[in-house]
Amino acid sequence: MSTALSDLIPLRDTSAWAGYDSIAIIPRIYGRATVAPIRYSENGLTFVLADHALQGVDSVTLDGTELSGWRWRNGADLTGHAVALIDLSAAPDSGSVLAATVRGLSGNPADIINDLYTRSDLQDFRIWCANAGLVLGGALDAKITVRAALAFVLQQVGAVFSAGLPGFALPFPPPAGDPLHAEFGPLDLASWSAECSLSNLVTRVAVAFDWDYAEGKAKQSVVLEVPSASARHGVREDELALPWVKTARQAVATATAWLKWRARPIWQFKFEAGVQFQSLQPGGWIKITHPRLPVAGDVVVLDVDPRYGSGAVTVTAQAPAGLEPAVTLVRQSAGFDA
Amino acid sequence: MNILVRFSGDHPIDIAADSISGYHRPLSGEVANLTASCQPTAFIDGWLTSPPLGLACTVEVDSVDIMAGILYGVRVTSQAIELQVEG
Repeated sequence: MSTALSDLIPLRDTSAWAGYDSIAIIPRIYGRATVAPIRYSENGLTFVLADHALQGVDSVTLDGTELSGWRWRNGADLTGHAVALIDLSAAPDSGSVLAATVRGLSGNPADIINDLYTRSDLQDFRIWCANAGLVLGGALDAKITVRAALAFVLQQVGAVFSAGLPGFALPFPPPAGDPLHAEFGPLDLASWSAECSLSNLVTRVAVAFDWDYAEGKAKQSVVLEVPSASARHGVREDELALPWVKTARQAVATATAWLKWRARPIWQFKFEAGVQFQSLQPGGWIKITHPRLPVAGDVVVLDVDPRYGSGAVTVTAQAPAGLEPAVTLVRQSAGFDA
Repeated sequence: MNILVRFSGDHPIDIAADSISGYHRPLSGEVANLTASCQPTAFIDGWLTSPPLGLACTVEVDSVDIMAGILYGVRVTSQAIELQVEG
């Protein structure tokens, strides 16, 4: 049976274990992540880490202090389902915080997407992620839809997805060197409009990343700003949550691309065109020119409504105004334990 | 009727509008935004390419200020150019 985007991600919870006294979702873990083990045995010595086998466990801490005398093993729970477990030599106090840093399923974003929503056309995206050194680390521990999970994972690397997109996922904005898919002149555009709004403009972004699932907080953060945009439009702040990003290098790179696109007025274009453009795909560059348009040139297609039977298609596209701005790193911080 | 959207700042400019919509002063409140419709000829070259969103402006009707606010959005169609002012 195929998976619908509106289906919930099939995560098991502890109600699968007969007699368990509280309900918690048994996480799926991708890449390297710090998680809170779930107590499994009544004597408090055995804990479940993930709802699948792990590649390894790097460390186990109790209230921030590294523990020795633990043993990791991949095995099966009492229902026969594969899980990863750790055995401790002594049961921790009930109020203490137990945490384990583990290596789970592949952290390549394309592999994560494929695990959530099986696709056979992710090879280009997988190579792009590998070439850019993009590796994520995090845990799925909440019931969300497949669509929300895909959007969340792709946001971590500044990418988007669409069922109408060859390759399913791609970075946004697409690389400037990508080919133009169509060219629209003044005679090709009908019922057109172009809009930009202050609500889409961001000149400063706070980025929290490297989430600690045991503590429930981000371990690091950076703040980026486009000073020229703040001077022109006023400081417009927003937050970008990248909990699965583990390194400052990757967080800054993703947030810089994100901010460069949003620190300028973003023109959103909508127009009708002939049915020969029905096969136009979202996520590609097109060129539009019209003497009355505020800007002309390359824009990214966001959506194509083929409007079958109506004799025209409606295209929605987007491009920021002006030149690409310079982004500065305002602040970088790493959390510490008091 | 003379309608002007007057922008201040480093590059002050007055833009003539043909009409205003969305401006109400109902009982028990006041709607603090309006949309001014302008002709393309009201703009100098390049102003629309990257409009100064967030810039302070006032809207004047027959030399009377009816709202002070900021430029919140711009909508361009083949018929008109609309400036959305948020007070």
